[in-house]
Amino acid sequence: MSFLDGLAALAPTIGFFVLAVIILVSAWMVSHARRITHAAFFMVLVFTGVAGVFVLLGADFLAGGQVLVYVGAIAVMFLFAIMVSDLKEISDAETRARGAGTGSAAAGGTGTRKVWFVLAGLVTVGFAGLVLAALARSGLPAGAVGAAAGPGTTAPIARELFTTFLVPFELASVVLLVAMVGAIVLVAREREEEVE
Amino acid sequence: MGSYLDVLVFLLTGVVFVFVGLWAAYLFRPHRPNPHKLSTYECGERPFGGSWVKFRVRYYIFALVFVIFDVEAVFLYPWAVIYRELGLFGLVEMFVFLGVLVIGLIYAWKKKVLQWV
Repeated sequence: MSFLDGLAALAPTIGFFVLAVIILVSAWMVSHARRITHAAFFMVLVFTGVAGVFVLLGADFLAGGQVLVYVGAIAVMFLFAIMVSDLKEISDAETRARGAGTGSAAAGGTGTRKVWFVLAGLVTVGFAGLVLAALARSGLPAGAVGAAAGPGTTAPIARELFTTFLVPFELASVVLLVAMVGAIVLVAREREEEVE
Repeated sequence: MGSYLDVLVFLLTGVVFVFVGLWAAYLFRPHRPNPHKLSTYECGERPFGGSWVKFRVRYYIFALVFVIFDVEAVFLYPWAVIYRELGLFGLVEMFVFLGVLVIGLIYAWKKKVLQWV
């Protein structure tokens, strides 16, 4: 096996770890960026990274949907929400206070903050345990990552969606309609206030 | 996996293109700033106030309606892939789906939220 063949075989693994680093760093930046717009753009990067993970898993339709809906629409919605709100920047004072608080909690801390830390830790450990248990039960075959790049998942998903899951599919349109009417009602109310 | 390599190359080219462009401009441009050059260009008008202004909430409706029709497009794509298999049945079920969403569009139209004031 030549060097290039070896590299090609390793590519999905390398890709996964590169994506994992991008996702984790971006996610950290979402919660630590000072400007809220920057946080929104780092969130876009998280979404894009997750789309990459879907590609590695061979879930091409899911990857496309992720890019179209999350990177496209949801990101636009978040940016518009920032545009129409007053909130622009998480102030320095607030950031510093938060940093100091974390430090003191790590050093022993007091009261409610410590309770929250313990709770967060328990939830994290519990969730990690749940994921590991699910993995152990499902018996994920070795090398599943990148192995499923078959003829594409769109047609099988479509066959299921438009026959077996026809009713949920049609109900989805009703859910979307409710969301749209809700948004219209909110905007129409603001418009009336403007006219008054 | 091969076709995704094209996507990767495309992504990387896009990123590199931006940085090489900015870097090349930095290399070649003359650098003689004055207050007028450094002021924000606002269509020839004298700029006033900050650029961080609060927009009116009515802009938000366009984002929300876009999200909804974007999700609709995601459903249309797999439908189009197996359209021939589904035949008339598929056509009818998709038109039911679209019909429900058109109700929302008509409602928006009647409420005049699509009008620009």
